Amino acid sequence: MSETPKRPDPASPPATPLWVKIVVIIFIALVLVVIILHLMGFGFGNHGASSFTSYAWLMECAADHI
Amino acid sequence: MILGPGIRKLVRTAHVTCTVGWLGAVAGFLALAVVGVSSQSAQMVSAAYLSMEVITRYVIVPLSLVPLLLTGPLLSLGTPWGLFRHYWIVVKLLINILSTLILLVHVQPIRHLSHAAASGTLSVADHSLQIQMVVASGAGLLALLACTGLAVYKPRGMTPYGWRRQYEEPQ
Repeated sequence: MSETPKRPDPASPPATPLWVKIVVIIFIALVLVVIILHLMGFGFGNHGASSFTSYAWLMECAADHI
Repeated sequence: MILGPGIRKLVRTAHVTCTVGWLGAVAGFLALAVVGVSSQSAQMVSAAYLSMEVITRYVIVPLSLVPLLLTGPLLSLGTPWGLFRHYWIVVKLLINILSTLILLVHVQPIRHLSHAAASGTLSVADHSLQIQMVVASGAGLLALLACTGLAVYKPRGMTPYGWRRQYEEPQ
């Protein structure tokens, strides 16, 4: 009457869920937008004549918290 | 290494506090960035950019690094959830890494705006940078909201690695 439930095959993992595929597509789209904006001149960093680099600023922040 | 129940609760409390605090701080940053770009009052603009640097330095940077480098890995690796076994954890990790990188890329521009505001040298040339602050913090807020949703709903889906590991481990 009742069949023994089949144990899933460890060698064949389930397919990637739909929500993961959607997240990957959104991520790729966002990366492309950022690259296009960057190429159009909306760059990062190098603004102004600040003598502090991001790294130096971070080190300063870290020193504040230690 | 599996964490005991007491330590697990402590680490989870610290993790939730930091991540939700990070989200709130970014929301505050976004509000200041909008005021900075839209206000007609020079005093208000100066106050906004000076506050943004303080919030970034003392709140956002620490609150972003603690969950990414400490409580997140501890909770994942110290519990049966693992770090690479479930898609929602991998996606959340990637969002956190990207958000932190984008934050670190913006620390110098934030400092520049703060100095310009303090010295009264904020000019039209800084306008694109001011808009960039609004866009970046808005995107960051959305990313952190997505992370919060993932942590609460925990959508199903096991990675091939997680699938293999569940059969390798002794029952």
